[in-house]
Amino acid sequence: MEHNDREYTDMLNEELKEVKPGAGLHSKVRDGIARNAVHMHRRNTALGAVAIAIVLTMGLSAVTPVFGRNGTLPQVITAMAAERQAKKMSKTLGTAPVQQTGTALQTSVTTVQAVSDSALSETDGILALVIAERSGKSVTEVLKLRTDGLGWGIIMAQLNVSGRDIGKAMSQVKKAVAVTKGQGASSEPAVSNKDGNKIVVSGEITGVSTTLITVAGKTFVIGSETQLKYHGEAITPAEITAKLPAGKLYATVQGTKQADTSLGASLIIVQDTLEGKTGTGGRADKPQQRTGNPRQRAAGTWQGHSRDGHRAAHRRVRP
Amino acid sequence: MDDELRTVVTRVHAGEEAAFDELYHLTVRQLYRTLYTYLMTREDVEDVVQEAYLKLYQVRRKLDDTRSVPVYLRTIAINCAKRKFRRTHPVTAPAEEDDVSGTELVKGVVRAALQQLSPADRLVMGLFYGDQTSIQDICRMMGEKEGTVKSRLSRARERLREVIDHGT
Repeated sequence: MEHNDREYTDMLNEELKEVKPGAGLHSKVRDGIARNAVHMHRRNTALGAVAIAIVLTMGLSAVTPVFGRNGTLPQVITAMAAERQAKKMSKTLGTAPVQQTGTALQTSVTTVQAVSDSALSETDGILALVIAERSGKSVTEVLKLRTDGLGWGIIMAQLNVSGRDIGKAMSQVKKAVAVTKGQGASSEPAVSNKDGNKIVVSGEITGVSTTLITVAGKTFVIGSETQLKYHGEAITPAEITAKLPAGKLYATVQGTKQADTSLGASLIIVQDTLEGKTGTGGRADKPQQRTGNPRQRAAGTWQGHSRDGHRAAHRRVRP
Repeated sequence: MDDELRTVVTRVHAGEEAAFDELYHLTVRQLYRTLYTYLMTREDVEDVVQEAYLKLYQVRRKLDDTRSVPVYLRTIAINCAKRKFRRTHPVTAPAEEDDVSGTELVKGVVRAALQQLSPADRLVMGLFYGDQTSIQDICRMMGEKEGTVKSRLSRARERLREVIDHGT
């Protein structure tokens, strides 16, 4: 039997005619709306209070050292950024990061040793050196502020060092170390040589005594402040002498020209091999002088590319 | 009715509290019936009606009197009803006798037919025949394609005819 739409409509309307809202439903709806309005009011009040509290805290912390010896909020943020950079630098440098940073910043070996020997972490050590270099203060002064319990943010603010300054210094260190290790394409020398007295030489060790070492034809004086490293560890001239009969040894020497024209070594990194590119593509065991950069020319002798002992230990030994 | 509704919506939009009550009285009966065909229990329907009017109240300042507020209201309500149905019936299963135990308002042959339809098919049936809603509006309210709605309608009609003709 066929049915048309009219029949279905009538049937449904007839059967559903009793389906209608109860009398109390309207008041329930109204109560629900009223409850919701109260709830929303309370929620908005609470959110507003939280927002005001946050704004007040931020405002207050920007001008008051609410973080105690760590300083104000901006100082804490600056310190965190600086520490992050120092940590990254420490990872990048790998072995003896404080020493490498000190060398790159031309800090005296004694000072670097003092930082290394202090209870500071490597990150803090790097920061201390960098802040001292940027502020023109001595590392001892910076260390004293730190050991007094001040945060890096407050120290930086007191010494007028900005986060940007830290970034620049880190960049300088990175470049210098990269060139020293021969990892960078930068034409900057490993050691800045504004006064023309700095010298960096890489090449074969052809002679060594307790007070002198000859690398790539250049003889350097080994003084009490000279650091000697082999595979990241300290080594004595006598040990180098003992190793030489077993095969060739190479070294990268950072030093300065003395008043009497002799060359004083500040850092000697002894390695088993000498790898890397040279400025003019010459022999690796022959010192190469780069001619493109006046500062390098001023340095006298320049051997571009070498690896420190630690890295060289993991590489194939050249026959 | 339409003119009256439009005037009321305009007043609601303007923030007149009493107008919202008038809007309620103008729309609640149709909404109640629509929801009843879907949920089939008075308690569930009342819960959903409250929720739907609360949501409508929250957006009352954004209501547009040029658009169909009843369709919008029923869309909100159907979505609320679907959520409620999913909560109370986590596993989708064919409608059983127990599912419509609260059908005290519907008697006889229609009740028997509705019992055997899925909630969505019941809803389409109620909207199309009970409320005289167009297929396009049903699609909008249910968020389904026209083919799906027509298929639901056809299935519901077939089932209703069987029940009316044969009593099963």
